[in-house]
Amino acid sequence: MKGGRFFTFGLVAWMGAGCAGGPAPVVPAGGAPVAGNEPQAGLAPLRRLSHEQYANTIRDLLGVSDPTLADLPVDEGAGGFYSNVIAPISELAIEKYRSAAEVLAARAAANLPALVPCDPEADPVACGEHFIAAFGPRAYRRPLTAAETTRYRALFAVARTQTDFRGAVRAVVQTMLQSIHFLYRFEPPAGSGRVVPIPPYAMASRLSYFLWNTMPDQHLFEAAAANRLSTLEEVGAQAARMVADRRFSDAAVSFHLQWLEVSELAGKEKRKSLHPLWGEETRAAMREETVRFVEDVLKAGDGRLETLLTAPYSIAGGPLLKLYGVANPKPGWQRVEHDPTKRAGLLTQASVMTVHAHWDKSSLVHRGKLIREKLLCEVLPPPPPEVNNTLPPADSKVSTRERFEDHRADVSCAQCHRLIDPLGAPFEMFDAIGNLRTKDGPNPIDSEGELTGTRASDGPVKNAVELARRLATADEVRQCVARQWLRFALGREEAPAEATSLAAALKAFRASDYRIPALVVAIAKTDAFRYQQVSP
Amino acid sequence: MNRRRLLRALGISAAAAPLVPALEGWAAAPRQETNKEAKKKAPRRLVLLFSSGGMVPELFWPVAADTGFTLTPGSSLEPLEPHKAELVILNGLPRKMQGVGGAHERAMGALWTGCRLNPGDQFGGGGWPSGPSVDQIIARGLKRETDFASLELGVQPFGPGARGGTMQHMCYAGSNQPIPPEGNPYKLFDRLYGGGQPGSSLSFDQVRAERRSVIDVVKAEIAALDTKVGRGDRLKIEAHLEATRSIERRLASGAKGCEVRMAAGRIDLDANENFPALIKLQTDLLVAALACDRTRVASLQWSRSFSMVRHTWLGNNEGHHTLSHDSGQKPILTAINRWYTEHLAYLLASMKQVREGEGTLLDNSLVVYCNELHTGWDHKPGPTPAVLCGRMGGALATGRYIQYPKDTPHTHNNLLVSLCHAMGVTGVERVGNLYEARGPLPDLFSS
Repeated sequence: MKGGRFFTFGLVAWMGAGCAGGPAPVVPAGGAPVAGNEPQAGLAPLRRLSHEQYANTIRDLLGVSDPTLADLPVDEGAGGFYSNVIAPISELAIEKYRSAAEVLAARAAANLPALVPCDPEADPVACGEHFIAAFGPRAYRRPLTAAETTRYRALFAVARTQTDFRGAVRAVVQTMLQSIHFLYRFEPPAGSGRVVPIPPYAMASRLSYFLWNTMPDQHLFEAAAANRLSTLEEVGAQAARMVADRRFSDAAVSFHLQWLEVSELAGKEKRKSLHPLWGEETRAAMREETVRFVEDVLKAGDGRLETLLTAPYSIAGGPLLKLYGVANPKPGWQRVEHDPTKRAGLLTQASVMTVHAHWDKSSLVHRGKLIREKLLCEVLPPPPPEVNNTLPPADSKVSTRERFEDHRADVSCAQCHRLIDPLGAPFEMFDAIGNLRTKDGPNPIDSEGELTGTRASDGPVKNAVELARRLATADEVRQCVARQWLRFALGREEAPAEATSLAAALKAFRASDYRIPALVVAIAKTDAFRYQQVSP
Repeated sequence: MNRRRLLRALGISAAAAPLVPALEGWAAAPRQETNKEAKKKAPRRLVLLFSSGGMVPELFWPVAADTGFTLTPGSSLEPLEPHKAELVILNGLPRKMQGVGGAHERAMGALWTGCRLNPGDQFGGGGWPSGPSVDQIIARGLKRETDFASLELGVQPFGPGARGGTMQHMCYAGSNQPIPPEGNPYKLFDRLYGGGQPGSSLSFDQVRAERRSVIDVVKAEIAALDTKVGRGDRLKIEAHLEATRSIERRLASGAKGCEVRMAAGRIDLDANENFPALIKLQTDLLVAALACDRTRVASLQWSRSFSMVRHTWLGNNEGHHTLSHDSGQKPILTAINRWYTEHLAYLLASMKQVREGEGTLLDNSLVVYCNELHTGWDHKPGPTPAVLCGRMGGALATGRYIQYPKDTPHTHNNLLVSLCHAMGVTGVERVGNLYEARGPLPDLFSS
């Protein structure tokens, strides 16, 4: 019996579940496409701001930040991205928002001139009204109703008699930050019919949260006010302006960190005795590298998918300079040219390798799963519950390939693992924190793998670099990336009715030679983004 | 009327033994006491307690004996020896895993709900559980007499950077409605005794007045919402309204005769080394909340399913989940479970120090300590390892070890029904959808 055998399990009645096919969309996404010329779009379930979106919105609305923001409610996920769209809010979460609102309002009110567009000395009542009229629509991301204006004026007046002008401003800010109109993104259906356009102010927010991960800017508010966000051309023009703006990086970085799960770097632990370079500084630097690389490809580079996945350079600093073996590094962050036979783009970055690995060893299965699920958009079910998942103790006499032999030998394992393991094997050249290695203990590294399941890109690969290059030009990966961005935009999985939107976005992606900015502009112009199916 | 002020200093380090003056519990919590009420029995409390990763059967279960049972030396439950007379240990209740989702998600999701998961975005295609947890069923079923219908506490329940999912939540208000546990003792303290933000110049009353005025606006805005909001969205808004109203009730009640002081200084809430100190802090806050009758339904979640706590204070530096997967690690897994049991013993001892009428807080309560798994290395959820502690106001005959036979018709979900009945929510016949079984466990509680 091989030292590596670790699988024993009982019944495999579960086998019938198979290893292909997608699940039903979880978030109510909408029905099937309808025949005719009607726009095809899914549902627009009410979404609450994500943690990042809340922090960025506060930054742009109030110009403050605070450590309190670390204590906001934990985000849910939908479609693979942070999206608070399924679970209703809890009491605890409301109290966390309350806490944040109290602290942030006090901080903002400490600097009245920055917050209030008039001089309270001259006429405090009028200045208060002016403040509400200027601040309110930005906080609510739409004009205030007459009732809301009246309510806030009354609140302001009472607070001013109890405290003073500053106290009244604080009270207004504190209240608005706890309003459902601040915390949620309302997209009220406009007009009649089964599928209706997203109204102008909601569209402004859709564009800003999609492309900048924050609240709308003044241009977007003005376009909404003038009803210039309804036609394809108008939306396209705004989107084009927005991707050319440096704020697009915020959204693109957020997308890539979530897509490749680098956002989970914060929770990883690694065995220091095996990985002396690991530590808090290294963890932070790994995340920073991915952030700067994405920014660089989009701002200074060609913005192409192939570049993101295969570039032989990166932007590194801190302990990464040692990890990447940079000869004679300058101090600080710098462009690093890798050996192009050893590193290629995002997938071989230390951050990605670290997240998709165990605390003391690499992981064939996690890395293969990342590729299969996030780059090829195929869904893998979990292992049957009866399966003994205990990893064998690291036995230096047994190579990795031998340790995972059971995945191949047993037919009930193989039907899923043949899709996973050969995609993870090429990354064996990197250890659990992304160090390049040629040996795993005394065993030489075997990085051979295979891409399967595509129409025209299948075949063996020698290592991670070859795999990355094959993936970068595989049609399935291009489609999958388009799909992932659509999910990011919608905050949920796409509905069957949105297949035409996805196809339209993909067409534009192709025509641009697979530039990310072109893809996201195309997505903003799709029916899926500009319309919503009315919910029963 | 005799309003006693309870003062208690909470220590912040495991080394500092807290001052625990004998507390007067429910009887001292301020309320308009009539003679009739003074003679009333103390209310029953329920505490759901969780730790993860399963246990090592041969080093966990007690040994049946004429006098009930004996706790095996070296076993995980041995630290409960001083509280043996207050325990009922259950072995053998089937608990199954079915449907979509990863093993950890399904196990944690079903632990107190008895439900399968809805389809979702989490690992294995699973989402949130499809029904409420037993503590929430009870909280909603009881007439609301306390500031908090229920309190959900945790100790490092979330890992940093993680997406909120089923593995981190054990309490649910309903299908797809997770209730996050509060892991921050300082925020918990503010929730319970709330005086606003540290460093604020506002008085307690000013803070409350401001908070009430915000609630007025929130309620008015919800009432003004367009009726075209779709069904799914309406549920979310209604939940927001209900939660707001619950908070409003608390602000109005102003029961302040039961004060708890918290020592100055803050510890790093995310540091692994502070896990023991945090367990102690949260336990102390929980006992104080129960003693002061701020709630009668509470839960305490030690870490989460797929816990990566490294029990370095036990000489081990591996994540708990990693260890639990290895059937070769039984000694350290037993040591870890023993360590958690020591903290259960501390909780029970603390509850015993709160006098209520002729007995103690523990006499009037039930602590249910459970693990989401039976054995970690095979991800098996069942049979349920359950340790019941406390006399539940006389309804529980303690000092028993109940072993259910392999072909028992009873299930974990029947235990959940029993808990409802024991807390006075007797209209509940079925909890959860993983089993058809209805009714409570016979012979567990007497009334």
